[in-house]
Amino acid sequence: MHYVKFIVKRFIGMIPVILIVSFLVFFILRLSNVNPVTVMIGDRQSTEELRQKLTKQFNLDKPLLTQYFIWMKGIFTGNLGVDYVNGQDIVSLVASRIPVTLGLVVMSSVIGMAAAVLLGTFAALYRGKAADSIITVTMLIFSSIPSFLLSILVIIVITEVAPGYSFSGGFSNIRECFVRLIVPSLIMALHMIAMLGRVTRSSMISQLQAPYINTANAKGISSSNVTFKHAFHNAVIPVLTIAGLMFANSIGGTVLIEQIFSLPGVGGLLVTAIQQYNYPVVQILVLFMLAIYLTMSLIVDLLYAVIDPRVKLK
Amino acid sequence: MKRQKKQGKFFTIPVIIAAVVLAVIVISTIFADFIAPYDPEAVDYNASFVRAFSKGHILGTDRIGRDLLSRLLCGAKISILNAFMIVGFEILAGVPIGLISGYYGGRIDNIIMRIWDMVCSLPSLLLAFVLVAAFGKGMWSGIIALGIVYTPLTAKLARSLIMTEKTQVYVEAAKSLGYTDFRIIFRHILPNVITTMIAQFTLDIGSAITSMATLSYLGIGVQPPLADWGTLLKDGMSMLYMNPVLLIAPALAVLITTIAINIFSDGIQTYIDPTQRKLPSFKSIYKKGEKEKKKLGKAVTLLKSRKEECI
Amino acid sequence: MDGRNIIEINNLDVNLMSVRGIVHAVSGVNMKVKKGEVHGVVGESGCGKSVSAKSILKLHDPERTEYSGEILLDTEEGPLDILKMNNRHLTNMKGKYVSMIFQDPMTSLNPIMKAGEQIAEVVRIKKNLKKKEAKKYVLDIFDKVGILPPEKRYNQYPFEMSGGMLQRVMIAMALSCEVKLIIADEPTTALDVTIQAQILELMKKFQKESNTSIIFITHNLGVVAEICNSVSVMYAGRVVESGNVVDIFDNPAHPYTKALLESRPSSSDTGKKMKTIAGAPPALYRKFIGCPFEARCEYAMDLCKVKIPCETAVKEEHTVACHLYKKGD
Repeated sequence: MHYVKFIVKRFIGMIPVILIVSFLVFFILRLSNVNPVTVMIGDRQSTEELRQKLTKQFNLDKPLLTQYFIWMKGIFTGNLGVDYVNGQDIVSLVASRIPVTLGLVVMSSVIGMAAAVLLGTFAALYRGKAADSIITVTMLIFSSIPSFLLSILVIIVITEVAPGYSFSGGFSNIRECFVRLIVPSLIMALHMIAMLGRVTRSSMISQLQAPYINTANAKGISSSNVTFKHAFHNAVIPVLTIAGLMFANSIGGTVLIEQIFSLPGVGGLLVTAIQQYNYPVVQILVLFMLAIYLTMSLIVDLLYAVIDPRVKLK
Repeated sequence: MKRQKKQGKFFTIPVIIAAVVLAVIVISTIFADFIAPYDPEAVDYNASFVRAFSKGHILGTDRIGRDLLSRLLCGAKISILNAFMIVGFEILAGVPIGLISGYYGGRIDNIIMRIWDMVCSLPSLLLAFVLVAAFGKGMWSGIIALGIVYTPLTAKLARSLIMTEKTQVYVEAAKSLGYTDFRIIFRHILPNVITTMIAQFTLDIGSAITSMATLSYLGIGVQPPLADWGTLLKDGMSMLYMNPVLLIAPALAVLITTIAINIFSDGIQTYIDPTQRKLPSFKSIYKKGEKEKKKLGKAVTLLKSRKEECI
Repeated sequence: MDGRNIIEINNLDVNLMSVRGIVHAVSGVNMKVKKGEVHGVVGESGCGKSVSAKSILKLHDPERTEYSGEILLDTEEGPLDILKMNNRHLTNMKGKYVSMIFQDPMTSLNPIMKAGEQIAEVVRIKKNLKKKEAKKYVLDIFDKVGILPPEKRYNQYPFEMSGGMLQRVMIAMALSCEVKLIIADEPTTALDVTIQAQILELMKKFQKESNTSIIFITHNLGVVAEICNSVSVMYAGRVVESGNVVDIFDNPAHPYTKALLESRPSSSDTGKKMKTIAGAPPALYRKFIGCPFEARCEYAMDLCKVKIPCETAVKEEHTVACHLYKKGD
């Protein structure tokens, strides 16, 4: 029961955060000196009549604060109007982009976290041995390679090695989705493995040196029991914190990966929107990503309470 | 009593290599203008797409005949200077905020931490994008945006360090002597936590280089005619099939630099934290002892065979 | 090995690899503990007490530790050298013959495991009990050592208990498998004085009831006088004097023991300046040429600078390592 109470409480707590961020995003974007009407007109011939019509349609003649309230109202009623550049309905535009991004994030996180924890623990247990050195050095190298660079290199290599591999294609069935998402997911996962694996390793090493491990060893229980039931359980707690942060960053990471692999996801949409000064889209995407992040950190906190008895849900 | 020399070296082989690489990069960056064989912006249509390793242009040229080596060197200068500016920004803004927030705690800390949560609730790259969108694309907005993005992380680090440090006895002592808080924070506590922070700052320089390169690669960072490594990557990508070196060279530059920085910073961290430091084995020490004995006739280091004798 | 002894440590050397080089933490230690006796080990911090104790269970990081000598344990299969046991054998031996109580109960228990569960885990393995039986067994022990109410305490985590209560949990853990030897590594140092007395009482009571041997490590001579039958005094990684508690307290032979006893405050000293031993124990990075205590010793002679004294018997079961006592004197 207290879980439900906790979740409700946290959701209520999210509201001011979302409000403040929405407010900041809205006004920061309005600081820009690009005139929205010019963006909307684009290549079309600019007539005074058209300008006035657009100004009225997008409420640009009203004070900024009123515009903000109109936007907020739109969020709650699910009617955000159309974007500046193509005149598409924003809600359906964003909704159509969500599955790809979600698939990318979930796939890369699952692969990344599982592999990171496995490799990190393995390296800690073989600390100082050759296997450990190989894993740590590889992780160090991969954690220093920016993911966009890695993507470029992978694309070059794949086009050289397997010229038939297609980076474009549909998303009509699960197989197609998998084929298109697996390479970018692996690249994102690789970065996660490199970062999280190092955290797992050092956390595991410090737990293996903790005094309670001495006690567990002195009790005469098998060493695998000491390692996994005692040390690993404790070591995984800080890993979880970092994993939450990494997950949040992977949402940002999709922005780049989608752009490079030309995937029809939320991230690619955001970059294009920023480049085109398509602010209504930028605004709502930032809020959307924020909402995902906050939900994720809520899940991490819940997991925390399950794993660590010292954490009380408040 | 003679102080024992610390075992476990800072300059392990990877760290030495990384340090040498970094030194070469920094020096060639400083003297980029003298080393560069051509003006990086000099256009020469007669020398379009010169292959790499040809006479006159060691790394070849791009579509409009600009010398890649010169562009790479001057790009390095911009990339590295930008990274230093970003890290400078985060130090100047983040460290004082973190120290003050951690030292005083309570209300100030609470407010700062709320703001921190808010800023960090956005993925860092995303925040940078939004800020760049607001400031208008360009090198300076990129620097400021990334500086703002990095600041909360630095503040958080400084805060957590000072929180553990302020409970130490020497801080109590300084307080009881009636020193001002300012003096205690910056003269007494800061020197004690600075090593850990320096390891983080070196790491941040690496990620600042890649973050800035990312912005430039996406076309919202450094704008032409200036070019940093990100711009070169972007150009190289578009000319990949004409001359792959145009992409591979800047890619390697970014890779080598960031890997070297990471190894170096990792070396610092491992050295600071004795639990992570690799210690020599008993065998290696005894071996050294035997060697010394053969060479000098006596061993300064330990010998396994030597036993204490009593009467 | 003498059948009356539960454990015999012969010529034990323990070298540890540290950040600053090899530490000769324990050099040539001999120690015998009789069945059913409480053997105290005293000395200043860093004199090798804890290191020797942990060596009995081989608890040091194997990558960074070098043992030599022998630690003979009296088992059903006759005397066995712990240092030569393989891992499986060692795991079986722990909790069956020997268990250990650590200095700081706050950090010595797994922070995220229920207190009762941490004991039940061992009981299930060592006593071959089912889950339910093991829990009942643990609740019984909790009741005996005064962890009340047992049912509630069983489900508590270490952070929900006080230091004294946690040390009782540690004691319950050590007692749970009815071992022959308990190693108590400064079990009262981290506790309040009032709690210390309670814990000592408890240990004394159970030692009497079960006739278990205890190796009791402490730097508190008062505790030694109260609980121990025999004592080893350690300095710089070696035993400088050992004997039964009456001999050591009434006729201390080694200058270090004398100094230790004199630096103990007592009510008759009111108004006098407290005696201390000048200087600090030597670092153990190098092997010694002379007596390790020479620099701080008021009886130091020329011989002390160049020769290490061997253990000599001054009386039956009272040995001392000092040049003041020559063989045959």
